[in-house]
Amino acid sequence: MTDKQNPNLLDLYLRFRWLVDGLKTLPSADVLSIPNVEFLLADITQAWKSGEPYPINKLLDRQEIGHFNTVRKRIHQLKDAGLVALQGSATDSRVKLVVPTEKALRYFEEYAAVIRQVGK
Amino acid sequence: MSSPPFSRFALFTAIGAVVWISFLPLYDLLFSWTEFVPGINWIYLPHGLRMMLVLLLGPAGALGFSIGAALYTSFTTHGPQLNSELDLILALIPGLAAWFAVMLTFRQWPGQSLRPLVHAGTQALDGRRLLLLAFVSAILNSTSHITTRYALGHEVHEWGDLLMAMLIGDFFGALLLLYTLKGCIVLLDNINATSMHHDRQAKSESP
Repeated sequence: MTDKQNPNLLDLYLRFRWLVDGLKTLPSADVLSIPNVEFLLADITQAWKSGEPYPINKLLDRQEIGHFNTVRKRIHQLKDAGLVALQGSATDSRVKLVVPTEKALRYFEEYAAVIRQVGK
Repeated sequence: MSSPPFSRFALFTAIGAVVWISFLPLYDLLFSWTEFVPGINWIYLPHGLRMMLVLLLGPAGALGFSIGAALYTSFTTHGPQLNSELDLILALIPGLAAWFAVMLTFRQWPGQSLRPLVHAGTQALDGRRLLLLAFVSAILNSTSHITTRYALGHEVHEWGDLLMAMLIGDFFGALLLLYTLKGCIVLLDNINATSMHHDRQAKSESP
């Protein structure tokens, strides 16, 4: 640490960042109860299942799901809820692919089981 | 150049007092309709500010907003306005309550500092911990405030009514402020991401 640095300001800034990170993680409503989120997760899973997972940029440009910002927010909500993950592409590490996690696959399995049970 | 601990404490105390004195008139202007009795509101946003000042500035923040509250009560017509000694004690109670609540919630007992938690970059402060802090500090603040009002003043209202109003006011006020700030942070993130997205698009479209 050089003489010119102000430890008070540094400490205050670190505390501020700490608080902002805390505010960002305030609990929200169940992510899948938000409109379009389940549809988005199904879309991501479908694309992944067919062997062509969505690059994040392509997903952000899908106007039919919502505005760019809305889609971005939903992807992050799904990521925070542990339902999707961002994976580097095998061909281009700069491209991030949105893929479902084990938790998302389990969710759809349980969903399918409920539908089967109702159909009996 | 490192400043001596006293000047740092004084600086943080002054910041706490100034922030409190600046915020209170705005709150009174917008939320005076939520007042139950003088000094007790059904939605008390400044309770969230107290928590944040203690998290940001430590005990100096608690002392700062207590001084701010004492000054604000004595120079305006807002606040309990019971008698000068009781007003002073009631201004100090929230500072102690918020500081103890932070110590209890983070298991950093009095005498220990929050600094190691901040500098270690640990996940000690997450959203759930903030909610717990709002609840614990609301309980400590409301019970000690109401008890003091009864013990030292001539309170004519029902003890349970005052306690319930203050507990609800502090807790939901803190929640409202915390979630409003979260909304602002998300909005700023979105604005940044949009401009980055447009920049990237413009770059990829340019020859």
